[in-house]
Amino acid sequence: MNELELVASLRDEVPLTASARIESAVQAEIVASRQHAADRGRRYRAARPGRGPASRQVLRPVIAGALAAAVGAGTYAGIQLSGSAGHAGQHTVAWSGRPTAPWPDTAHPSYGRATSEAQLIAYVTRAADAMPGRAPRPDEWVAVKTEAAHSAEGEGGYLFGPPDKRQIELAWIRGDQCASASIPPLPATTAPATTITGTLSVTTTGYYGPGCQGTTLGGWKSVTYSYLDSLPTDPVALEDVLAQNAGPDFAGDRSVVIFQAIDALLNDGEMDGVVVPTKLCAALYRVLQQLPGVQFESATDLAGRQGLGFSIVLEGYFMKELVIDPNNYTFMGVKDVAIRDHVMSGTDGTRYIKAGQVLGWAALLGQAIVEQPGQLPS
Amino acid sequence: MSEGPPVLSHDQEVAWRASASAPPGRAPTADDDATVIRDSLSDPEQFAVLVHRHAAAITRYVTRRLGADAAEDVAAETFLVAFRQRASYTGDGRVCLPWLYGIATRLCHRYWRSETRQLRLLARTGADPVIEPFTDQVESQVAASAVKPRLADALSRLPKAQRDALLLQAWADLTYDQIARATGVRIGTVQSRISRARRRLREQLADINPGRMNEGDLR
Repeated sequence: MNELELVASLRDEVPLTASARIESAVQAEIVASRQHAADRGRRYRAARPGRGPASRQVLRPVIAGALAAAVGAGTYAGIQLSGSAGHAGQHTVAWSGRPTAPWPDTAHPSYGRATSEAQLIAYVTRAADAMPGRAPRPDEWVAVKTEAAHSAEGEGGYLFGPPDKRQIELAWIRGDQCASASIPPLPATTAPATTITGTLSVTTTGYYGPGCQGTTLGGWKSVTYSYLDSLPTDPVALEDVLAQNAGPDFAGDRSVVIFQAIDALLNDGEMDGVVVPTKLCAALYRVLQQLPGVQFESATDLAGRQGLGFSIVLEGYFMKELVIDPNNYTFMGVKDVAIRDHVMSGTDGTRYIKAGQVLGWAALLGQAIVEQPGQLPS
Repeated sequence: MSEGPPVLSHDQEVAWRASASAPPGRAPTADDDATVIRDSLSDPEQFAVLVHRHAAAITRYVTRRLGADAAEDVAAETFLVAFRQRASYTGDGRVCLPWLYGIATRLCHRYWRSETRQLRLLARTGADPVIEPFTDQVESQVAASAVKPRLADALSRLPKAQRDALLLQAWADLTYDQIARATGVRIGTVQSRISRARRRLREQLADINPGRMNEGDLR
C-alpha cells in the first residue's frame, strides 16, 4: 500500500449519504431566484412603459465573442466560447498559435557569454543597472513557457524511471496574481513551426478567486514584485532574509536552507509567473557564489541548452542544480540527479535509486509580460 | 538510460485539442450534467437533478475533511454557489463533480484551522473525531493503529495547496487535469503539489515496515 492509497483509506468509514436539507436549501434558492427575476422584470417594465417585456437574460453558453484583434506576430486569437459577464469563474476561449516556437528576448541585455561566476555576476549586475525590469501591471499577464520531464514508470515525489516523456506548458498569470490561463500540455517534440488550434482556459476561481492573496510560495511572506524589489542586495543581509523565508519545509544546514529558498523563488516562483527583479537575481547569484557547499560548473537544461549551474548536495544522495542562462543571465531550469545509490523505504515498499538517475528535470523556456492571456511575446 | 523522447505523429501531438470536452466520439446526452446545467438556465428547477446526483459524494468528501458538524452546511453552500455560478460552467460534459469538488474545497478553507486541529487530535490521541459519529467509541479507539495517527500528523503539516491537491486525488478520485480545473491552477502546478505532498508523506512514513502493513492497519 503506497502513501496515496493510505490517504485514500483514511476515514473511509464515512458513508456515502446526504442530508435532505441540502436539497431543500437549493430548492429554496431556486424559488428565491425566480421571485427575484420576476421582481426585476416588473421593475424594468414599470420604468420603461411601452417597451414590451424585458428580454430575458440569455445565460446559455454561446459564442459570445468575436475574433480578438491579433496580437504580436499573429500568434494569438481569442474567441470567447462560453461564460458570462459578471460571473467569476472559468471560461474557455479558442486559441491558436505556435506553442513551441522560440520567444524573442528583448527584456534582458547581454554583455557576452559568461563562463565564470565572476563574469556572470558582473554581467547581470550591469544588466540590472541598464534594464532593471518592471512589475507587471495588475491587468497585464505574465506568460510562462516551461518544459518538464516525466517518466513512463511513474512519479511519486520524484521520477521512478528514465525521463522518457517531455511536455511543454504555456500559462499566463495575471499581474495581480489572481487569475490564470493555460493551454493543455503538449509533447515537447512538437515542431516549432507547428500551429496548434485549441482552447485556452481562463480561471478566476479557486485560488485565484475572491479573497485571492496572490501567489504563495514556501515560506515567502510575499512574492510580489514590489516586495522582492525591496529586499537587500547585500549578500549577508539577503542571506538572513532567505533563511527566514525558507519556510518550515527546509530544515538543517544553513546553506541548504538558503539554497532551497532560492530554488523556491527561481524555480517554483518564476515557473509560476513570479517576476524576480534583475537586481535581486544578481544578489541571489552573489549569495550562491559564496554559499558553502555550492558548486559552480557548466550545465545543460532539459531543452538541451548549455548553461551555468549552481548545485548543492541534498539529503546526502542527490544533487540539485539551478541552471542559469550564460547569455542573458536569467534562470533557465533545474535538475535533480542522484549522486550515489540510495534506498528509499516508503509505505509502498522499497525503491532503489541508482547513482546518475534523474529524479526531476524542468526548464523555463520563457517568461514575458503581455497584455492578454493567450498572447505570446513578439 | 534512454532519455530520448518518443516520436509522436502529428495527430498525437495535437490530440490535446479535445482534452477539455466530452470524450471523443461521444455526443452529449440529455442525462449529461452539462445538459442539465444548460437546461437549468432557463428552467432553474432542473438544477435539483444535480443535487440529487452528487450531494452524497460532496457530503462525504467534506465530511472526511471537516467532520459531520460542518459538512452539511458546506455541502449545501457548495450547491448554492454552483447554482449561482452555473452560467459560467464550462467543464466536462458528462459529470460536473470536479467543478463541485473545487467549490467545496474552496469553502473548506473557512474551516482550515478546525480541519487541522482535528487531524492533530487524531495524531496525538489516536481517536478520530471525524469518524466517531459513524463508529462506536470503542471501535474508533481500537482503530487507532500506528499508521493512522502518523498519517494524520503528516497531513496536518501539509501546506494548504498541497493538502487540497492530494485529497482531491485520494478522496475525490480526480485526475491531475480535473484537479487543475477544480482549483484553478496549471496542471504542472498540480503535479508539483502532489509530488511534493507524496514525497513528504513517504519521508514521514518511511520507517513504517511495509511488510507488516495491510488494509486492517488503517481501521
